[in-house]
Amino acid sequence: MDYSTYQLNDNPFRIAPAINPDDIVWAGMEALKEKFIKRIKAGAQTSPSRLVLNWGKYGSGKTHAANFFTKTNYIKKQLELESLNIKVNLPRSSKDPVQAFLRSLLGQINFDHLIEDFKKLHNIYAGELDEIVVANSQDSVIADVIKLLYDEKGEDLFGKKPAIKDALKNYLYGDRSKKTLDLLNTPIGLDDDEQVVNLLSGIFNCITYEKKLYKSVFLWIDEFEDIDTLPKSGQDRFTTFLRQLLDKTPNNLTIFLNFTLKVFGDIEDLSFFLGEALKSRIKTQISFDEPGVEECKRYISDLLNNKRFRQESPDGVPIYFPFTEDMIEYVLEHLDSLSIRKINESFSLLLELALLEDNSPQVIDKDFVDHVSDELIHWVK
Amino acid sequence: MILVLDACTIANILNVFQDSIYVRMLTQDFDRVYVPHKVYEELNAHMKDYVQFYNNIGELQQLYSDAAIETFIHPEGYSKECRGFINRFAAQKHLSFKENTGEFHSSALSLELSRKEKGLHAPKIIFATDDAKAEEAYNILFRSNQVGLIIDSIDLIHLMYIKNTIDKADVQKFLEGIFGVYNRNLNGLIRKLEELRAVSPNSTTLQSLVTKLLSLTSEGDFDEVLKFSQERSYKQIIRKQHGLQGLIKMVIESGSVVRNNYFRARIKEFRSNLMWIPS
Repeated sequence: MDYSTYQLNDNPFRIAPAINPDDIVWAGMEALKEKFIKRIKAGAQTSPSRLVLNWGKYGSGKTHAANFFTKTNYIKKQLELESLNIKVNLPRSSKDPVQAFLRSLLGQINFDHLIEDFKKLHNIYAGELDEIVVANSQDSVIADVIKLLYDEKGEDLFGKKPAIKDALKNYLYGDRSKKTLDLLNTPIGLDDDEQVVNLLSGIFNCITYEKKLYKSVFLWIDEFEDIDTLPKSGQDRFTTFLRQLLDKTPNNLTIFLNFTLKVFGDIEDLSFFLGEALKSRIKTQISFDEPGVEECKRYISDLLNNKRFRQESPDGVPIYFPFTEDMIEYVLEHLDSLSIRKINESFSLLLELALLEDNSPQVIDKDFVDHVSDELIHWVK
Repeated sequence: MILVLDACTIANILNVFQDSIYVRMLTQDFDRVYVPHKVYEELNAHMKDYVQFYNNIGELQQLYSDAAIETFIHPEGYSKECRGFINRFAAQKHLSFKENTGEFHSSALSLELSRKEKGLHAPKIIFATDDAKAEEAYNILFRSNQVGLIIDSIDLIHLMYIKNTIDKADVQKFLEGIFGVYNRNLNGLIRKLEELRAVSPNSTTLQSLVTKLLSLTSEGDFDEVLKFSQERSYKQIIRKQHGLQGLIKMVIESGSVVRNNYFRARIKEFRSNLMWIPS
């Protein structure tokens, strides 16, 4: 499709998640963005760890927010903060949710970066680092494992270092074979949930120690509502794990929980899944409200004119081009409800349909919409 | 008291706690515990509906085996006379009782036991079912014939708590755990819809359809979901997703929205400590 017909490089209305981080843009929704910036700055500038609940209906942008703040370098470049930003999906129907969660999380952390980070810490703290690790892991076996991340002994022994590094990686992924444990000189594998907590809290505490390396860890847990696909015992295990993680990482960790309201959708019901203990730790809620018409228009114009999508032109183009303001209001009024996803899908389709015409209209206006409204699933007559 | 159990109630208790002891403990709280043979068959026939909550089918089978429901099967069942009576009753009252269901067999057994149980004189029967529709229909029979009481699994758990057989944490666990077990079809539906997205990630039509269906699902409007899934223009797409329509129908039949609201109300009530447990 030739989007340049409409002075566009590409279709700005994504219907599938972007893979390339450059394609993840934040359009409009400034108030919502400000709330996150505020939370992130608070996490970076102050110490206490926090649990933040992001809640809203299906298609309201929670996953996109998580992707924006974890996959792009916005926080580093625009907010000028060094932080570790991770997004993990809640393990679904898993028999061992804590192990599954750990694996997902490790998949998001680049192991080599982790080693580099600990090397940097070693440069900063030198001999003190061992003590810092021990104090922050609350588990001597785990402390010894973490020390291996920056252990320089054996570096000059041919072939030994890579083997230890690989063994360490395997160990973190659940390898409990004698060979691996012997190589690491550790008695047991990562077996129980509490050890996983100690490992993660040990790592997080160390890399944010005195905020010298990273100011904070921001951990986003997406699709939290899926917790009810776990059997009750699994739910309890996972919420206990989260609670312990927060307790053992009392500083510099902010966990964002993305929660979509399902059929039994009352935000108070969250205590059914979180348990009272975890629910009481939620001090902040960020609600992804249904946007109003003006907000939607702002979103659309921001997206159309984002430099990633808008072709440069000497005379400039009207902000809603190739649409008209009337037409946008007309479409928004006729959608069964307003959500970012529905807007993306509806305007994406309108753009595609216009380009598919033998003679594409110069401007996509109300008449065109009437002409094709039967194809818009979210359209209400 | 005599307890007669329906298949859905047994399944809920087994699968929420994932421990057979809660079903076995019923024998402590009731003089007798019975199931008609039909219920035992239904229970086993639907066992695999719950396999998603276990590591493998073997674990689930072990759980059901440990529960030993076959020990509850009433040896004689209900009589022809009793059955005949119920059918006449239904005809007179313009009710429709489906004979080939666990609820019918359980209600008939309850009626039979209330008249003819050996060693007890016209005992009251507690019939536990989680099928709200069945409860409505058979309540009329139970009332006019003074059979006893129809309750559900939540009531049963409360009774065990009052009798001190289980503790407050167990009740809490059941009330919170019932959502996941009850909504397994709903969650299955949501997952199938999300999988549909992967069929054609760049097709705006397909993605819009899935969004529509998920949106309607989250609002609890399953009749609309079914309607959309049956529309000719989408039927092709939907057909590719094996079992989707079946799941939608199961969710509708289970009365999801009302039931979830009911669970919420019961949790809130339990949490408000309005149950008198003398010290």
